[in-house]
Amino acid sequence: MFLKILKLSLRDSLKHPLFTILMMIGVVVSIFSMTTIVAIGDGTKMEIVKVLQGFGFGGDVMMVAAGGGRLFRHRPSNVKTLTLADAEALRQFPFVVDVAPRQGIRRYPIHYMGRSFKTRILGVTPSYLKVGKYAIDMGQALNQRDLRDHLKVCLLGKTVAKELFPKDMAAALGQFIQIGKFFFRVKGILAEKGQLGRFDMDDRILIPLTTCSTLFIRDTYIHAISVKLTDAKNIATYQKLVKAFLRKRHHLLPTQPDDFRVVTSLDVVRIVNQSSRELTRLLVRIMIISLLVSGIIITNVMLAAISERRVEIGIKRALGASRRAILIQFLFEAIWLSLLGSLIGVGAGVLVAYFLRNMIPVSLSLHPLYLAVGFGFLVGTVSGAFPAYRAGQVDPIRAILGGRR
Amino acid sequence: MMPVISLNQVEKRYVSGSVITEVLKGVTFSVLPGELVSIMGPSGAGKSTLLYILGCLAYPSAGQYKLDGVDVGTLPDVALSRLRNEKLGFVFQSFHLIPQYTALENVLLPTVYSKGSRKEKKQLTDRAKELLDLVGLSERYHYLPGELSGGQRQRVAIARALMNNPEVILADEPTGNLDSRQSVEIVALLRELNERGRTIILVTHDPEVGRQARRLITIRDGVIQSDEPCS
Repeated sequence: MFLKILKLSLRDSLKHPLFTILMMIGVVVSIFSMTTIVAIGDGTKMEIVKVLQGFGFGGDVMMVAAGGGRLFRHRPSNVKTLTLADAEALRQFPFVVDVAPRQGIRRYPIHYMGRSFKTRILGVTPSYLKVGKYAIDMGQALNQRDLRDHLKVCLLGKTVAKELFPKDMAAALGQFIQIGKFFFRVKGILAEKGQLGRFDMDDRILIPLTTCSTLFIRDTYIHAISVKLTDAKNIATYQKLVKAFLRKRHHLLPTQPDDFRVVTSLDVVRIVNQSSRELTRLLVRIMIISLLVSGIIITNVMLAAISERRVEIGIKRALGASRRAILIQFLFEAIWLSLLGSLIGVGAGVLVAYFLRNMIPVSLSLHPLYLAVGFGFLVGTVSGAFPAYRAGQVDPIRAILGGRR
Repeated sequence: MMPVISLNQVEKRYVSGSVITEVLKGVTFSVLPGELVSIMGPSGAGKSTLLYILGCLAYPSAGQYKLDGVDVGTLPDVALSRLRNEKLGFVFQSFHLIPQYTALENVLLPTVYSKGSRKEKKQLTDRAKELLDLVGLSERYHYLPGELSGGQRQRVAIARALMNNPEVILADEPTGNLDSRQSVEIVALLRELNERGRTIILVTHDPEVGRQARRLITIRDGVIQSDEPCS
């Protein structure tokens, strides 16, 4: 009998399409907006992780930066704490695959045949290309000889190459470009890495670290070391070991703060999560509000539907429906409509996210689906309970006699 | 023969605020299986109230009502509903078909609330069609009530009342909304059903219709005024 009543309630709600649509609409809208927000939020998070990986800052890389303090602060250019020896010493750890120390100068003027441009100059070792996942498009990579002999050779990023050699990039190879007041031979052109966020990964020139030290920085202190690790799993442990090791090397007393920072992608993700927690909190608020609103809509529409369907209830009671049977029918109607509304909302949200995928980062997961099912069930039950009870209490005689009494 | 319906000093009062309306003031009678009984009386005499007590939609305020040997006054809602479903069939003045259901679906509605699994669906549908054939609507299975005439609607309602093979059919002014030709047809149909052994109780204020029964109970001011066989 229970199943038959459930089936009847499905059929009945299809026979009252207006009420059905009105009841669902609140749930559809709230689940739809929630799905979209979740998809965009997740998408943004994933985009950030992707950006980090593009940086050569995946889960198996940590970065040691000169200077202590907060993880991401404006980099001080004259911090003199980190040395090339520090970088080499890190190789003694079994979990360190490679180290890539570097120095950098931002927005340094370069010239070629009357063309001028400002770009980032990075003084690096050959390891940097491997750790940072750079590929050579044309020409050759930097090698140990370049480093040992402080050679004035350089690798151009695609943006720089296009800027200085707009007609034919390949013509750049072997040419001498002017960095500051020094002439460098173009040894190779880096493969395109693309735009990551607003940051152009191709707007840079790589030169040997030693050359950079002597000509531009005029000091051997380095700015950062990228450390490639054997695995990403134990990165937190590795981070601690490296920290302790460097503190010891720098003869820091327990009371002194670190004069370097060890940053892993976990730290970045944590910061991203912090901002996404704000989003989650907002989402929870929206959820509670839409839960209330959809619930109120369902309750009211159902009450209206029940007064509209009083005669029908009376007839059913006369034909043998108990109060409980009527209650079950209407409660089930509320639950299944709310569930259906949620599913439609998820569907619409997924569809919109799908169409938006080329404009903004979106990510689709099963979470909104679970959320929607739970939400639909909860809203349906809570907001359907009172109207369903009222439906069960309809006096069959009054309903049947209608105007006659 | 054991009576299918027996009332003993049944009273019904409606209380609204401090006003107590006594509608039935001690009604006693019984109906044997196979009878065709008319209950007549002027408006406000308590006919409908009596019918809805007979129909287990209202409890008597005092007195005893036994339906097929079961004392109805002591039953909880679920058991009472089952009793309605299994033992009683209703025919109403304004037909009370569910407008969104087809004729067939309306006839099948009582089976939703009966015991039994859905496996019998085919059998049930066949039975509903047979009943529609019986009331002369073999071509109208899938019509909505709005597409049927008043007489046809009442026929659907009668088929629905018969669906669960009840002991008693209760008809509340079944011809009240019909023209005279259709009234004659519906009364003839009810008589035919009675001749096949169905117990029928008919509430009406139309003497034409009332006289068609084999027994006429006249009720006035909540008491039985006369209870006599008619020719």
